[in-house]
Amino acid sequence: MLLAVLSGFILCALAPWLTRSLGDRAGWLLAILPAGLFAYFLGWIPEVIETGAVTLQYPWIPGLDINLSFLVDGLSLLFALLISGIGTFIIIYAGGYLHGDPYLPRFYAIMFAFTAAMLGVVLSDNLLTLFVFWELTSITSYLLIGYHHEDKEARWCALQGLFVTVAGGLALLAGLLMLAVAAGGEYTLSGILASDGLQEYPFYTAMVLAILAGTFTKSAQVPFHFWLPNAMAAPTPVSAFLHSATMVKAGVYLMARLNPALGGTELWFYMLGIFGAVTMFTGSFMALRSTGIKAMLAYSTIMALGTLTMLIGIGTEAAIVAAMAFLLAHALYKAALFMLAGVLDHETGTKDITRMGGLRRAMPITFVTACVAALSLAGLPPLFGFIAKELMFEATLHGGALTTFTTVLALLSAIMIMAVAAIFALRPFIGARTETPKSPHEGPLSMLIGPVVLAALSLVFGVAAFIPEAALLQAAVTAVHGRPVDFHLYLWHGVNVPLLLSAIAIVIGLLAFRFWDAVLAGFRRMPFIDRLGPERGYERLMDGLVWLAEWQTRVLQNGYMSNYIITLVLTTVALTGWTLFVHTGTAIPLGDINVRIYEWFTVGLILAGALFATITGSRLTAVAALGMAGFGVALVFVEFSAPDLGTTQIMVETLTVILLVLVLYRLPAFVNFSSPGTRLRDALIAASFGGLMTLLILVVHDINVAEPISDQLVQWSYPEGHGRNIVNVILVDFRALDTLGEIFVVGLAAIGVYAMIQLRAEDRRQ
Amino acid sequence: MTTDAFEIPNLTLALPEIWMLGVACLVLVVDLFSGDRDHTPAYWVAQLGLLSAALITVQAQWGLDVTTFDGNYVADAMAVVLKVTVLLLTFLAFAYSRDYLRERGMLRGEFYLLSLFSTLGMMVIISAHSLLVLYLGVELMSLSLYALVAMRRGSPAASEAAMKYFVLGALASGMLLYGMSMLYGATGSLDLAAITDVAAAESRLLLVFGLVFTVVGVAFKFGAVPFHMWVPDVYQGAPTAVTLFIATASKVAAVGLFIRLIGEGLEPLHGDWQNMVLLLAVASILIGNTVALVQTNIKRMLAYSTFNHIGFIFLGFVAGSAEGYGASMFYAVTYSFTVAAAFGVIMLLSRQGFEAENLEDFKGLNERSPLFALVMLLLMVSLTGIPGTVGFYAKWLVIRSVVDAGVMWAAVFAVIGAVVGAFYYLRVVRLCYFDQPEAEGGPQPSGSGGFRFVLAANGLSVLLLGLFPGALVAVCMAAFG
Repeated sequence: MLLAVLSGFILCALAPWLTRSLGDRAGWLLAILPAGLFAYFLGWIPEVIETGAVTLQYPWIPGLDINLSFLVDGLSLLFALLISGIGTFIIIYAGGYLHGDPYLPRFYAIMFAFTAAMLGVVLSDNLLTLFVFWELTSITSYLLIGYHHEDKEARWCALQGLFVTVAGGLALLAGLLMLAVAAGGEYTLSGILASDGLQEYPFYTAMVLAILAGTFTKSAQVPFHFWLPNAMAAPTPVSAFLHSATMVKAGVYLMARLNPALGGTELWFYMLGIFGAVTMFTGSFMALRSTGIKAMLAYSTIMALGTLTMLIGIGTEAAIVAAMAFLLAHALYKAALFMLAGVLDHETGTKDITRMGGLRRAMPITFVTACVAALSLAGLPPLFGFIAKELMFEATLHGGALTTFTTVLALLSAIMIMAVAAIFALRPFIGARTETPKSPHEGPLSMLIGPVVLAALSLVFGVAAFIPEAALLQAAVTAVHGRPVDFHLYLWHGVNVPLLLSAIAIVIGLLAFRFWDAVLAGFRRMPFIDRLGPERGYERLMDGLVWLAEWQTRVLQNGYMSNYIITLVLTTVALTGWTLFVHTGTAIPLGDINVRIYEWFTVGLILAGALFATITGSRLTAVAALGMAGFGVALVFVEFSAPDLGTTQIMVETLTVILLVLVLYRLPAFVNFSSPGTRLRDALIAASFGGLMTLLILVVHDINVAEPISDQLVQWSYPEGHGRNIVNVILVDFRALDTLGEIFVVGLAAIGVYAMIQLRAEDRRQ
Repeated sequence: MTTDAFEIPNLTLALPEIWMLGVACLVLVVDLFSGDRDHTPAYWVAQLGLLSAALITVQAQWGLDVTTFDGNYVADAMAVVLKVTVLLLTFLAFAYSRDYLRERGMLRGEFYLLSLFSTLGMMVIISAHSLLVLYLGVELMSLSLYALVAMRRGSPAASEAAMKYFVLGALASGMLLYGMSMLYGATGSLDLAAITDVAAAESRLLLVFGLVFTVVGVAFKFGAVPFHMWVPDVYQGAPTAVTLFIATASKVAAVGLFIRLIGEGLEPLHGDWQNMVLLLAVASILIGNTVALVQTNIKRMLAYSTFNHIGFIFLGFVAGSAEGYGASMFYAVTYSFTVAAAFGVIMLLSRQGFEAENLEDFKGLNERSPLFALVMLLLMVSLTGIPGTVGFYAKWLVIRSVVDAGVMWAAVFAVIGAVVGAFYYLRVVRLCYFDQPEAEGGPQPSGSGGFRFVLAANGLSVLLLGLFPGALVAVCMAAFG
């Protein structure tokens, strides 16, 4: 299994080389890998039917709880088969479609990486590896969509898809994390599915919303659907693959996978039901409005994704059965249709369906295949799409609180999709021949084998519905529903409400096809639809983000040193203030303050100096005033019997004043730039910082942790150091090493000074 | 004497620092007496010295947890991891910047010397076990860095950057020292272990005040918002070689500083500093991301995005648990190697009289040099935190530790921050791969074979570590038991 999942990555590295050396046959040969994988996954079917679910573990990063563990059950097997099966045809098809393209080797490389990542998503058991693969699909699909990278539009579209899906993916990560926490630190899907009580998790709502943000963006649900039609910028084989079995289906897969664990709540029901139904309607509506052959199919994909989401949301047995059947039907016909669209585009040179006509003679196989696939899309018997649609109506009719809502929307969608299917299958082929940029003839075998086989399967599964049912759908439904469901698929259900609804849809849909040009003209008169829509919101969001960033830079990073310092000071004050606020219980020890009269004088001197320095208009005066404050501090030291400190302070203060005066002497005259407002602000900031310092001193005031060292030094001086001059004893005895070090440093500095003077002297001599 | 007898400290434990001091002095002397204009002997002595110091560190300190020098110095597994990282980063900085500096006439012995002393300072920080030693390390590191930034004396931008860095840095060092003095005042000890004991025994307001000031000082050394203002100016103003050194090695040392001083030393005050750190983390992620979006200068862009990563590193601290510290350390280590390579690519594209520092200069890099476009892709993807590269596991570990600490909103916030980060990192990828270069063809990669080889290896290691992060994770986690 490990090899099966990772083989894509291995081949990814080899593909460019193989493509170059094999030339034209590369597509056929490279397709052996996905075909082999398909066969391998087929081999799993008996075991899965027998045992239900199998988990396999390969340790990868034990320290991180990350194992490469795989969960194989009906659901993952269904997806794996679709991915590898359709992938086989896509690889072959790409060989024809991109024939002679210089970037073909790169295409194959990315394509295999993408396929492997997709297989990883659907088979992973560990949440982390699931997420890793999930994001890998986003990235590789970005590269695939942006394949025509010379095209600015294509790049823009690819980037949009990437942003939306990666952003959603990270929301998903948050959701998965919560899921793991809710399940009691369980990081495997199988473990999470087995645990219960997830619905009682306090953050259940947040968790579900985060996970859905991930799946909705990936599966292009309204309002995130806009990226998917833009992703058509990709070459057609990519579109066919992304839209049918992969990428967008990853979101559906995850919702289906988590349905047993998270489903059954009102939140899940309404979120999925409403968003799914609205997406279904939007998709089919937009499909009918489109004239581009790929756009039409892209929007119908949105319709299908909406339907699947809605069905999972409804969550009844019938709905789950319908969802799985619909999933299979959609993958088969959508891949076929996209590949046919590519054939048409390739052969005629245009993507605009209104410019095609009368191609049935030139391309008979394409025509017949298109008819079969489109019948399945429209949901007509005897195709498998019909069964799926009947089941869907059946499910919406028993949709609980949302019955009316979903049924009406489903009917409307079915009508429009019927019209779309008819347009696709008939419009390019019947009627009079029209002029196209290239003269069309039948596509090559490599491009037709895929659609033909897939369309044929749609037909076979429709007629013999027991084959997919027994082989795949039973197990898949069991996995999604959480327990086995007894059901059987038939083409003919007898005359009932779903059949009636289908009939209505077919009739009105055909009418819409008949008068499509009028319908289109009607839509053109409503251009406001283009202007609304979430894509605008996306653009606004991007612009807003840039604007915010610029504004913030202007405000915060303006290059002024004073602003930087203000921020530093204010944050410190705020942090301290906050801490004080938190610690209101702790009393501030104020101590007892008795101030003698001459101390008042000193304090007055300091204050006057500081104040005068702030209000004076001359630099020299300010320096002098500051000096006054400094000498006041020296006085304080002297008053508290620390003459040495006092002396030092006086010397430092004198030096500072002299240096400042020397510097200021060279500066231009002082101009007061600041406005009163700024000065007030500065005053407040200074006051707050001063207040903080005062508070600190009060707090420190009566803390005395250790005995002063001076007493001991006095005691030891004579007996240990044999000297009565205590300072001398300290210098040459107690701290002899320090003194030695100081002498050394001073000596070193002296040598440096001497060297510099010497150099200057030499310079002058030269 | 009534004092305790003088005890010879266990010098072998501190062998890495002693060795580095020796190497630095040797470089000084070798450079003085060699006439080589490219300072080749100094370069090789420094590089070999750094590599051997890394080996010595592992040999002398791995698996231990002992203190020496009277409790002033500690040798433990965390010290080994951080020191080896710092040493290797310095090695990379030297390897990448040689051509760059030579072309700009800045290749002087002082560059190696100051960097080596700064590295020594970082090692001292990492192994410090008392306030004084810690502060000594911080100052040794910072003073050397100020001088390094000012190395391009002729450039006004460099002078301005150095001036700002120095003034603000001095202010922050003052705050740090002030905080330390308060810690000493409240506990009566410089020894971190003793401080922990006292702090656990009784709660004092003074301790909390000391904590605030030390947090401010440490946050400044990190460059966490709102103490970040110097970072973009310095990154842009300094020669890229120096920027690389500051952006990587000093951050790793700052992790050591935080864990030693606040994480372990003030562990009993976790309740007090947790919210402060959380605040700094959230502010860093928020500001860093939004501002990085609009930068057109890649050095400034990397500078702003640094805040984002510092925010993540701080988030790891929030939990105050072994897992959290391990996650932060893993993050810092992997991040700095990634960014080192990014600066390496910038230097690779720069040539005489031209700085490849605008995002425009990266347009169409893929056509000029597929290898280094790939390296850039890996780096940016890793910085974004996309799975498959090592950046993802770093983010994952941090977020998991935050979730375990029960601060769910911060985890969600961090994830949103990572999304925004994707914008500006992936923009570089787009430029490299999808855009056409400007008319004159854009800068060509220059540089010697050795430089290219090391850079390519550095870049690809991001991928390798992304595929097999197990060993490094295990080492980082083992460092905290």
